[in-house]
Amino acid sequence: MLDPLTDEYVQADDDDRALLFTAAYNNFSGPVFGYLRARGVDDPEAVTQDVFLALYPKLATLHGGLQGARTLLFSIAHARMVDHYRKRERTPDSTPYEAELDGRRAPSAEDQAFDRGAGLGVTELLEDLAPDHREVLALRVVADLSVEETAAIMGKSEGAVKQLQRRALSALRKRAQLRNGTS
Amino acid sequence: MSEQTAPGARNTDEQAIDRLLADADLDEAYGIRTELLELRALASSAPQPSAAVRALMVPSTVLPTAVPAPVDTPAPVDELAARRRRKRRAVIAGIAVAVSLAGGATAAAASEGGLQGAFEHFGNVVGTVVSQLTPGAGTPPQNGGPATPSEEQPVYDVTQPAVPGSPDPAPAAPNSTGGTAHGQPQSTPGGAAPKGPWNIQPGNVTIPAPPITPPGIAPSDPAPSGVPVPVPTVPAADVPANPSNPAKP
Repeated sequence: MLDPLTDEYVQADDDDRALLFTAAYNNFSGPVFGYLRARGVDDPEAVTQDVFLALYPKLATLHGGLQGARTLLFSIAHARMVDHYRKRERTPDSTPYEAELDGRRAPSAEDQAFDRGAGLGVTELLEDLAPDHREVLALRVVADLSVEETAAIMGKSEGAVKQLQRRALSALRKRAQLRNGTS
Repeated sequence: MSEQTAPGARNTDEQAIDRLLADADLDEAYGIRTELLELRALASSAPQPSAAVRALMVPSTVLPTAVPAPVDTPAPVDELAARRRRKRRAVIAGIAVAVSLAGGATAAAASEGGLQGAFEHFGNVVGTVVSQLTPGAGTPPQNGGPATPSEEQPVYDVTQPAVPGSPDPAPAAPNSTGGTAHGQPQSTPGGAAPKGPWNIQPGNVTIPAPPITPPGIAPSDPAPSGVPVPVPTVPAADVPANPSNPAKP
């Protein structure tokens, strides 16, 4: 995934933190943003900026160049996502009821068709999965992390991650079949 | 929304999805391949860096993969332009100095006496300023000492109106010397003590020096009447042409 331009930054990471930070943002801001969107974090764009702001002070002690920065970035993003869900659990929803914002209703066929056309259905598919399944799919598919990196971030063994990945894909397949009406 | 989609390698994504499905022993699960590709496409859109993030980034390499938005973002500090501006300023200052020097040289050449005259004039000005500022360097001796002609001349001119009604001061001098040895000096207005050669006989070669005359006694003080002084015999017209050097008539 790394291009030759960013490999130059890898050589210069010890000399200029700003250079490495710029390369990290240019290469990984999209995956971090997509990971946070896949995990359903509110305002994923702002959280992405917070993740990179949290990365910068740690670049001085970072090893591994751009690859190390990627693992560290998703560790931070994972921690922010966990914080987000913990905060959501503690905070009661005090917003007034608005029918337009009520997610307990079933979308119409028109809405489903437009959502499919806009490519927004995949996040809804993930919402029906278990948290571990969502996490492993987001890290493996969206963030394009290896099994080892995913295991390090999730705090599990590589075998557990492989098993979890297999189950998550199976669950997603079932959900997709139910949604598309195919078997 | 401020994020922009980066050009993604579709083939690379498909290969990665296929590899993922193969690892999970789901090679035949092509039904979710589209969903997984959509899920992977979430990573292709990168948000624009915020102001805080942009401050930490290298200005010249901001987002080579993501196209910068046409919004009015503050221009990054251009160090190269600042250096060029600085260099241009130095060149302009050098040209201004050269032009001013050339103008001064032209004015000096066009002035009276040419360039050499200008230097002489400058030397005179410097000498005058130094003589005014340095105590004792340019001041004439107070009591009968040799003085410069420029400072002795006003004294000589002051004595001219001392004899009103007499067009020729020469005959007036003997008349006024009947009782006093120095008639002309006493008649100076304001009672200022005349300096220099007024009490000096042309024949007397000795030039009065400041130590000779005691302080407090003006050199124009009349000598005792009893002492015959040959000064009255000298007509006023015989005042040396150059009062600064009384030894030379």
